[in-house]
Amino acid sequence: MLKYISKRIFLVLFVLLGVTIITFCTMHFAPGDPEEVIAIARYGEDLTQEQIEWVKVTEGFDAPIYAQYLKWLNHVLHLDLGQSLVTSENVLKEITTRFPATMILAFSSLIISLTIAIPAGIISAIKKNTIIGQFFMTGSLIGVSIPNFWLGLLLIWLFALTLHLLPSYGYGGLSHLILPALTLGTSMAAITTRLTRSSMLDVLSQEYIVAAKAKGLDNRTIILKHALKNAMLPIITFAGMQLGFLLGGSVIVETIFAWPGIGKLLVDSIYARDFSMVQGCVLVIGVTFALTNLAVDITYAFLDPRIRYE
Amino acid sequence: MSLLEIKGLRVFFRSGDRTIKANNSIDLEVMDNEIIGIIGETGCGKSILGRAIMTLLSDNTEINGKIFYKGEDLLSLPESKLRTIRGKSIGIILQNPSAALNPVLSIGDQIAEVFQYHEKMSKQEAKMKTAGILKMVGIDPNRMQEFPHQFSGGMKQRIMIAMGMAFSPELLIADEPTKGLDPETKDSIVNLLRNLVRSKNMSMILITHDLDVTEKMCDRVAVMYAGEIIELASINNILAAPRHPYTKVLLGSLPNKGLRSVPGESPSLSSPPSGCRFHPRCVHAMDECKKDHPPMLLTEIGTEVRCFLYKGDQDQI
Repeated sequence: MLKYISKRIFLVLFVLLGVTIITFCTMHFAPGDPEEVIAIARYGEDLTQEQIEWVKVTEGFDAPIYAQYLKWLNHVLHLDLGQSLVTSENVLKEITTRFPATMILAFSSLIISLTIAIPAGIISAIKKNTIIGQFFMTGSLIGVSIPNFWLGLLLIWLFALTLHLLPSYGYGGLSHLILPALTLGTSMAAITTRLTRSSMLDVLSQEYIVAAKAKGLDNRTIILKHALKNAMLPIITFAGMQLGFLLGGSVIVETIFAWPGIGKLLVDSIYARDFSMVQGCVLVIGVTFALTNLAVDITYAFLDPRIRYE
Repeated sequence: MSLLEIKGLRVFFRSGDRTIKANNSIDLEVMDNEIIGIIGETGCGKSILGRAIMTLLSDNTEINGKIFYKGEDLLSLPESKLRTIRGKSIGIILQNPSAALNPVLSIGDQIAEVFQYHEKMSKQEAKMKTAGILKMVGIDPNRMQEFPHQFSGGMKQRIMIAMGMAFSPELLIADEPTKGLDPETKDSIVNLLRNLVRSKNMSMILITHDLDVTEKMCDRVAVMYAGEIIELASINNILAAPRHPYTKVLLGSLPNKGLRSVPGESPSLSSPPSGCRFHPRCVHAMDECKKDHPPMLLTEIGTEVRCFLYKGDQDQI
């Protein structure tokens, strides 16, 4: 187990290194030279060649690219992501004030999604040829087909505008969280339900389920003890990926509900051509994704003894 | 006295627009303290028969006939009653232990749950019982916490035996318990099973295509072909005086009898040959074999056989 986990951590270090390289490159692949972009941000659109040269030298853009990367990496390792080109705010500070909002939204929508999807998936697998099974499958098909932004608007119309039960946008208490979390949670639940169902059906056709039945166990024990733990493996992987994406900020939902998360920050920074902020966001999102996957791998080891004793 | 009596059992599966007739009017009795072998080539329906007795077949199966266990028809009992019989009064050792053991549960847990479930034992008690049962099948009880993938094929088979034998059921169904094992492991599994079944006065249905194993363990043998029992006799009669032409060629396929293969192809279970199902492969096939389905006939040595060759000398049963 320890060997497995240390191996995973070792591999993640390489992934993180890759993340930094790619993040660094976004700066250089972006249209226009970085020194020009920074010069525009500093001195406005009317630039002289001297101003651009000045930025190039003072910011170190004349050095070879690997030297620039190493210098930047050194800053990153010291948790220095630089300053916003637009507001001169510290990038890391700005991200850390936004990140909790994204995290709250991500975890609550994941919890909503799994609370709906796992029971619904199990029931529709067990009752696959009945009305109940069909009902859940139709429901999840509708859920998969509804776009996020439309569902968000629909919920705002119903709960905020018609029933006046919940605020339609903003960040604050639990009441602000409900609508965006429901929007994200239910649409994720739809696809997770289908995955749970197919995973469960696959497990239920395995020989060890016949063996469990042959022991005289009741259906409840067979499903909850023998089938679910096996069926959870692909669901954990998928939920982990979903969480990774959610922690990167869900741009559309954050925008609809004016939720001050990292996804909205990223999009705003892109529009404002705030390169250092974009770079910081991309780096944090990449690192979060890699770490989420590490957490999934470790969860896997707890669930599956074959991995634990690898 | 008969412990199990199967009467006119028919098991059909729907697969697309075809109907697979896996078992066709099976009649079979299992006596107290008897080991009966069911032999036949792969796909003859013998494993299906074992599962039908345990009522383990899936929902798309059409089952007709009666399976009397101690006078009660298992096929008409409610599921809740069946659960008290499965694993306690009738045990099964499924083929392919690697697939039949749950990969994410420890082997101790998979055995102990039988005690916890049927006898409402505490975890501690169940653990003690499990240790005892593991010892009985030759597995170190200290390995109780380990998982199936940590055991070898022969050991997994022993674990399956431990699971099926947990309550020393009156009837044990063993489905290919020696499949895929090397000769030495096979011998040890055969000895273990035979000794356990004999010492606990159990009855056993041994499903196998290994005639060697059949010879070592069984009192009586039912030979199956294309979903039917075509010969039913004591082990001595089967070996010394096989009656059905199929049984004869099957015995001829043994390594020490010349390793001759059965000519022709295995019949399809969805559209079996007309008349006697063996006639396309039979060297003695007559005209009536192609048209009429032979009934079970009793021969003078006590063997029951489904073949027109024996029609002249005795009455049909």
